[in-house]
Amino acid sequence: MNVNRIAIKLGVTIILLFLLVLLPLGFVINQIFSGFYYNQVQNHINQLASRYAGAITASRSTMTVNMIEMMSSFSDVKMMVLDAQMNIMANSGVSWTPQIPVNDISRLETGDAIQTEMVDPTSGERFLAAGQPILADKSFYGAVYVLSSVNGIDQSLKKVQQLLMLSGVGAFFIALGFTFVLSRKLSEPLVLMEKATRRIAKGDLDARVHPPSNDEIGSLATAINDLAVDLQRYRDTRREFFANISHDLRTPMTNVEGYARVLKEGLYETEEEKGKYLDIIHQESIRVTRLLHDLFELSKMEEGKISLEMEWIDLTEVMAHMIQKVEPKAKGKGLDISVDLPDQFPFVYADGLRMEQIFMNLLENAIRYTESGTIKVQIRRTEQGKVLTIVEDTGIGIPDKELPHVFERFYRVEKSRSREHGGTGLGLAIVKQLVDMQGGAIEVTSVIGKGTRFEITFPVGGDTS
Amino acid sequence: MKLVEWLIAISLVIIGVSCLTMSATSMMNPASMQPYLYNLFRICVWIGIPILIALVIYWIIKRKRGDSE
Repeated sequence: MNVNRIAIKLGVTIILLFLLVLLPLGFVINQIFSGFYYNQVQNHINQLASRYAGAITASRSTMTVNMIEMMSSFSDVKMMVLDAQMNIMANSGVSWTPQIPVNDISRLETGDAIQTEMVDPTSGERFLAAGQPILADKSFYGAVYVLSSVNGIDQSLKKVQQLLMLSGVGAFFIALGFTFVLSRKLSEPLVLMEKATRRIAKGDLDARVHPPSNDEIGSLATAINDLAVDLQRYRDTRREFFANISHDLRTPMTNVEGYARVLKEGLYETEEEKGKYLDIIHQESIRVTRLLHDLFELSKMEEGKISLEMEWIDLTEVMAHMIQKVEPKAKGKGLDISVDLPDQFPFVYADGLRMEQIFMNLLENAIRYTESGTIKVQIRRTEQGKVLTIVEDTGIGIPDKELPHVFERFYRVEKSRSREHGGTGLGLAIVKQLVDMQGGAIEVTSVIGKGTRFEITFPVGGDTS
Repeated sequence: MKLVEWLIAISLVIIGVSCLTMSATSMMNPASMQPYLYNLFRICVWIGIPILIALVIYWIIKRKRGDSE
């Protein structure tokens, strides 16, 4: 049995805490009982001694002493009457001659009562004793001692101690039973999470933990589930990444290889055909170069190796320049570009070239996935004083469940179609990285069949002057 | 938790309650089972009080969390 388990550690800790409270409490209860018993007996014999001494002082006759001696013999306490020299005048049940310490005698002579303990030298029996002086007219005539055996008290206390011990054992067992359940129940979610995490670590990414509560443990379970989902997506994306990259590289390279062989072996009939093949080779090599360039850019950004040339720039000017570049392509597809750019606009502290790259990617994406309609571009200030850039198309749209993943590398909404459209699957990933690096934020909303809207916000860095 | 573990836990609690009941009853020199059973009931009530308090606190927290959500 493995003792190095959380349930055992928790259980042992709770039990030790329980013992930490139970043992001193037991000791204190025992002391309270003992003190109470002894106090009761002591008070009783004190009262008796006082009464006897009072009676003898009042009459000062031998008859009174004899009467008290007789009365005392009927009770369960022992009594002796001593004269001024500490000789026994009357004795009821005391079978030995006790030696009264000088200190006690002098205290009795001054009128003080004595509380002491005496031991029968023959039997070894212990007694609680109360001594009361017999004083009349400020003269000391002797003392009355009443003795009560401690054995009875000790027996009673022993019985109480045994019962306390039994109840302590009972309480311990109850605590043990509840602790057993409690420690198992408290550690159960952790054990389940540990098992699930091990399964996930071994590659079983379908393993999930049911969050047991809404506290930190539940949050941990949710985090583990999220981690598993992320890992699964990461694994799928990586698999897809390799499939994509090999496909995206193989297709153009196959074309290049095929057409180059045709040209090398002179398998063309006309010069026009040769030019067409050379054009294909050229286009395919551009495609491969663009893919490799995007990959290189993205990996540099992710590793933080890219440096930004930050400066005060006019976003409207950058956007206008990019629109000018993509306009022929949009016109070629029969798309309108609706531009809403203000004349005077605050400057933004950003990297001009990277901003061009962001706008170019978004505009090319909009043109690529829009078959008919309009591409709307707008730059304006928000109520919070930020610069908002909107690029909206009337394209095919993105399903809601795909929206959170559109900024991931090689994430394509419609895998086969987007490849047909010529996208590398890296454009939006690059846009997101560049926006984040420059302190901006990008959001996407989309309606299937109606279009997609990208909103980029940047903090204002200057004024129109 | 397995059935065996539940049985062990329940047995420990029963043993504990029995010890407490014996301890509480023995000084009374009982001539019948009635004082024993009466003490057993009272001990169970005392054990039930903290459990009841815990349940009430749990219910209050759950209710408050439900309201805030």
